[in-house]
Amino acid sequence: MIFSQPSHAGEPMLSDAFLNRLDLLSLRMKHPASGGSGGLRRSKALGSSVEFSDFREYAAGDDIRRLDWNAYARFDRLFLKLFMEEQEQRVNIIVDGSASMDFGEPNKWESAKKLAEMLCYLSLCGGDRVMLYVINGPKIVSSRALSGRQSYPAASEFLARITPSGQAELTLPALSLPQGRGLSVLISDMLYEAGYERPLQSLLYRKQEISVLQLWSHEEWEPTLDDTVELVDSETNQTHVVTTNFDLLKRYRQTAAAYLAELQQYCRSHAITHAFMMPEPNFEDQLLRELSQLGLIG
Amino acid sequence: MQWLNPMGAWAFLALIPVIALYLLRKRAARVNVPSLLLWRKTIEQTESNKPFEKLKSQLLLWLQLLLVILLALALMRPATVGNRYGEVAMIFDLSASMQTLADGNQTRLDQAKEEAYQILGSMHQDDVVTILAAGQSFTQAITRSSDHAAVKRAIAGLTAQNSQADVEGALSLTRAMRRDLSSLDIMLFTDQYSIQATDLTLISVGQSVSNRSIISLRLSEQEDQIIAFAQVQNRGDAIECEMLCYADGALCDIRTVSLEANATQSVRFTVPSIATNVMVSFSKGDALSADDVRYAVKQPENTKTILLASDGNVFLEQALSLREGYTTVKSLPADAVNAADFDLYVYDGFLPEILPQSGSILSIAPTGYILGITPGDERSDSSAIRKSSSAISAQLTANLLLSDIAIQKYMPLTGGDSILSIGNQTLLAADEQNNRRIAVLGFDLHDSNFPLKADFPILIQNLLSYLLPDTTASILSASCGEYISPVLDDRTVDVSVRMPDGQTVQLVGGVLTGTKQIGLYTISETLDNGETRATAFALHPPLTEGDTQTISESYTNAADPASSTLTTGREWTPYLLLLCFIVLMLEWEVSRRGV
Repeated sequence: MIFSQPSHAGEPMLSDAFLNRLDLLSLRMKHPASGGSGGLRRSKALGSSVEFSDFREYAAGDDIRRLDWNAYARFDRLFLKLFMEEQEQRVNIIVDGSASMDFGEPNKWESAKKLAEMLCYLSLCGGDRVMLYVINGPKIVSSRALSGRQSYPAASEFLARITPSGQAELTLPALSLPQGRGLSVLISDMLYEAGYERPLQSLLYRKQEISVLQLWSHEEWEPTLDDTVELVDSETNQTHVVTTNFDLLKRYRQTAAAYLAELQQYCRSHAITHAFMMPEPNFEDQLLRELSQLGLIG
Repeated sequence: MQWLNPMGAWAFLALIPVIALYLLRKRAARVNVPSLLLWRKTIEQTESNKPFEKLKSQLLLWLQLLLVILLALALMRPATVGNRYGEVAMIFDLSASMQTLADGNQTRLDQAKEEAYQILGSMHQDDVVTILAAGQSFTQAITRSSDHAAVKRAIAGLTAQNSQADVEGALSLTRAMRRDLSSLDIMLFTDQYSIQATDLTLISVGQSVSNRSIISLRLSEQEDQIIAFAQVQNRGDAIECEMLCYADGALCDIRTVSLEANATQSVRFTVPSIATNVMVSFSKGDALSADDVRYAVKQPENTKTILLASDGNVFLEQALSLREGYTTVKSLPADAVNAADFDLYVYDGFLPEILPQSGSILSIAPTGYILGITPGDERSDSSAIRKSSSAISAQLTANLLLSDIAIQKYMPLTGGDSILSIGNQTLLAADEQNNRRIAVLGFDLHDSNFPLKADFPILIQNLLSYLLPDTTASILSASCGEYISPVLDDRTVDVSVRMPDGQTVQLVGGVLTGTKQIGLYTISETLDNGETRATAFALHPPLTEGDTQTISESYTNAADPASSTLTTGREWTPYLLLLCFIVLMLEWEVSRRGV
């Protein structure tokens, strides 16, 4: 799919070549679609798809177009052929747009946008209804409901307008998620002062299938500081003077590893898909590799 | 513990810039991080788990501060105190033997100084020290000082002399000091002091080493040459050595001598007859170089003249002629009235009305007053003749027996120094006035059996030695460091002495004091008639100083048990410097690892 030349602000992050590769893939979900409009995903409901589901005897008022005339010839009784209903899935892509995401090389925010666009494109191509949310400081910015592949530029444009700023406060009430089941993908560094447990529990409570895609830069994982430095929190501007040395950096890495392990444990115990990624220069290939291994795309 | 260099404490000021630099360095660069969440967790965890983590994070600073402190302490030179002395008198033997090489280029005096430095370093800073330098005479190099740096400088300034050491004099002074300072410790640094004293600590230096000495050098004039006889004493194993002989500074003879072990032997050199002085030395030095050279001076012929005014006295005439080198002119009393320009006038039973203006006088049975000595009336006394107790009497009556001497009559003498006496009366008197010497015998030789006795020529020779003193005879036996009092001509108006190093000094008070140098000295006299006389002589270290084999043993003050074990303190500077090095290495490692 080749999109027309969009404005600079809405220029898609993903190359056409990469989009072509994505065309061969789809977003995988653990649970069938439920409660949405007609779409391309199997649902628990019976409907008018081409996939046979069951037989039942004709009852007055049934659509006679679904009568199985061959069965009537054999059994002399009227049976109605039932088919699976295919519905759209609701996909909520929640992107952390706080100031902490504007960091690292490659930049975390740019990588997060690529990831969000990729998921959005896969969802749109899969006939899903996509909502983009960006946690941008104290407010949460959301896009309109997007559906259909033609909505992809709109998603790109929406993300391009966002500049990372403020402190990440993941408060679910502010998300105003649509009712019903769906897939919620949280793209964030997961560094929340107030903790990540309550927001994730809220999403679970809303019967969301959650995927946490955690993005860290290499500097966050293995800082290369030297001597005494005054660390400035990019979100709160709080400072802390530390005399870095071999030992302290070693303990920082241990703390970071422990934090990550704790998050992974939490996700496992709550059936949340979790992926930890540190963007590499060839991030698109990395995405395909890691998300395929995770089973999120295929 | 004491500080040998308290001024080193100024180095602690270096802590200020170290801390200042650290504080300035604490103005850290601002570094943006996505979130402080993990950093806070890390630091909180660290501080809660390890209370000393804050200190550890500043390890480099602490190491630097420790390094500065250790360096400052090292500069202050800490030392543990050994013995507590309170008051110490250190006597240094500065005799010639202390020049003996003990170890390499270090002399015994250098060893003594090292010992003294160690003891000084072990002393408490309030201990008071007196340094006595015992050379030919003793001097106080520093008196009762607690400034150990000044004491050390005083010790460093001591030099060995070419003379003997007046150790006894220095000990006497310190013992006198002890009367007021009962706690005074006396330490004697010497190589040779054989007296075992209970009130001092003797610190012996040096080892027994071999030494060759030229102990004498005599010149003998022969027909057309001079033969120099050198006596060489070898204290040590048999050795072959080369000896050089210089005549007036020019090498004139070389002999290779095989010296037997611990023996003395003569070596003969041939010297040109025109030589005025001769020097003999070894071509190679040994442990003590001061006695490796010897000088000798060819003495000019004695030209002194004696006038004998007598009616005839064979005994006296014979006695005067015994001494070689003197010209005796005999004269009748009448002819001797106006005689002049003699060095000695001998008036036998006669006295001119006007005495000569210069020259010594020997008057026998004078007829009247003569230069302060007055003869009394004649009398008889059968008492024995005795030696008087005056100092000059001992010189003039040396070797006299004075037995069985009978005198028929005599004139008791008044004035002058009594030399011989009979009963309470003076029989022989001597005096010196305005550089003129006079001796008066109060009886006529013809009225006594004295000329028949062996004592007579001896007395006459003694009187000649006194009345005609030889300028050099009085100093030939002198050694370096001694005060030289040459007997000068009574007509001398100016005297100067040319020292071995070429310097010329005026002889003040008739005594030459600066005789530390080995070599030739020349006394130049200017007489009142303008005539000049030059008398050369040589000075050497005392022969006893050449004994480098006898070494005294160290002993401590047995009377003071506290000092019976001479424990020296320890200076900790080297250990501190080692610690500094270790800390420096540690700091380098910490800095390298970034811890």
